[in-house]
Amino acid sequence: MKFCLHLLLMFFTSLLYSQNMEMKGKITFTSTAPQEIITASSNKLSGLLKPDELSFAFIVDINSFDGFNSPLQRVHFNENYMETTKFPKSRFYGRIIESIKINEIEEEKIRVKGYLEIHGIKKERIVQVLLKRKNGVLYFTSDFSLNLSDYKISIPRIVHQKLADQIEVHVEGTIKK
Amino acid sequence: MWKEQLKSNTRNIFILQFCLILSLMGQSEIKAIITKHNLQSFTARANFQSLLFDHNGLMYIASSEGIILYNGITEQFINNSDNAGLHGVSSMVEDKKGIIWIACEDGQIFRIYNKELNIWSPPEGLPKRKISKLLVDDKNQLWIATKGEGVYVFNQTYLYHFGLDDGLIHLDINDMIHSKEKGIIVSSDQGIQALDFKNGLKRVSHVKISCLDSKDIVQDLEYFNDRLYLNNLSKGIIEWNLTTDSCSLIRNNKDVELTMSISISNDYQVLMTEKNIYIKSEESDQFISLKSDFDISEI
Repeated sequence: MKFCLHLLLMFFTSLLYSQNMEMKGKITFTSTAPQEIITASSNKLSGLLKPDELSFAFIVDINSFDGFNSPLQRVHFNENYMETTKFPKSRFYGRIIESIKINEIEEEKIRVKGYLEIHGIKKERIVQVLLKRKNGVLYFTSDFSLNLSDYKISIPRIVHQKLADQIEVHVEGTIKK
Repeated sequence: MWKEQLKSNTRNIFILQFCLILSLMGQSEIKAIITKHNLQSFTARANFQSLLFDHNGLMYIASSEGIILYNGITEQFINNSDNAGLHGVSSMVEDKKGIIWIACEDGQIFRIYNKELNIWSPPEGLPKRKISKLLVDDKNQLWIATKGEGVYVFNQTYLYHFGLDDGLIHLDINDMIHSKEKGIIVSSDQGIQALDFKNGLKRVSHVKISCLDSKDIVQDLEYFNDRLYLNNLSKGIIEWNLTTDSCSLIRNNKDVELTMSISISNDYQVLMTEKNIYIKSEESDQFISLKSDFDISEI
């Protein structure tokens, strides 16, 4: 009887540990070109984190990006550059490099490595992420840059002064059970 | 504590002796070190950590006092290297652009260019564990082997990571060399593996050596003339011919104290242990023991 209780306890403990965590947040990109600064963001960033495997996956709907300097610019972004009808989502999935215990983190800068998929092109990247716990909630923030040419997003010569090849990306959000 | 200090001091003495032996191997610029004794005051107070000869034959000595650059006549401290936060230099390497990369035991990496020392801060961040070895390959890619985080490679644009999920068998990397037959070879507490990185694609393969068990601990590696020299803690120094796939035991660890490093050149094989340095020339069949109190002038 005692043995069965132990087994039951172990089963529930493992369930608790293997529980996936939900990540929600906002992603913002900024292009700083000599003649124009373009910023757009999406609140539709969502993902899953497996604390026991230290693996994660993020996804964002490209159509959900808003901001830009004009409505026409948003149309160009979706139709000409990101080709959202062909490639509607962007993903980032992989694992945390450091061996950490998510539940015990108060504030720590970690590194994640994974595949960043944009415009149908998948590239491996390492990105630094700051994890910070506030009032019991775990927050993440990260800043990194990416080159449009790496993801086969071509910029016509005529807009070279208005759209930079190197884009700065800022990501922030929460990690909850 | 004192035992560890003594061990570290002994090692430092041997590193210096090792450098002096190398200097005897026909490099005129370096011979000046012995003849002029300009470094004597420095060597008396410093603990040595690593040394490197750059493409001009200049000597970089990493020590507890900072990094010293020696041109055979005068010594010069690299700007700011005594207080730049260099915590135990574990490896130094020069890349094809002439940049000297310096790895530290706390995972920090510094660079020397135009005699200026700067910390390297890639956007991907740096390892948080000890760096065991730095290496530059044919494509000028910087390879970083760590104790606990596997291997990183910097292709001059981005930093990439080789971990267990990429096929690496162990995250504690003891040593790393570049061979023309197998590419990058890493040694760990579970044998050796070959790594490759091309166009953003990583490849890890197991290297099978007939006279070595797949899970044998391999400490140091040395590559010379199509041959790989492995320091296996239980067996000794193994010589493996990469072209014929034949291997032989060239020195048994039972006969020599635990080997700390091995070095092979055209004329000599040098084994450095905690207590002595052993040297074997092409003509000789046996290793000659060089006691710690040997007189350089007599060699």
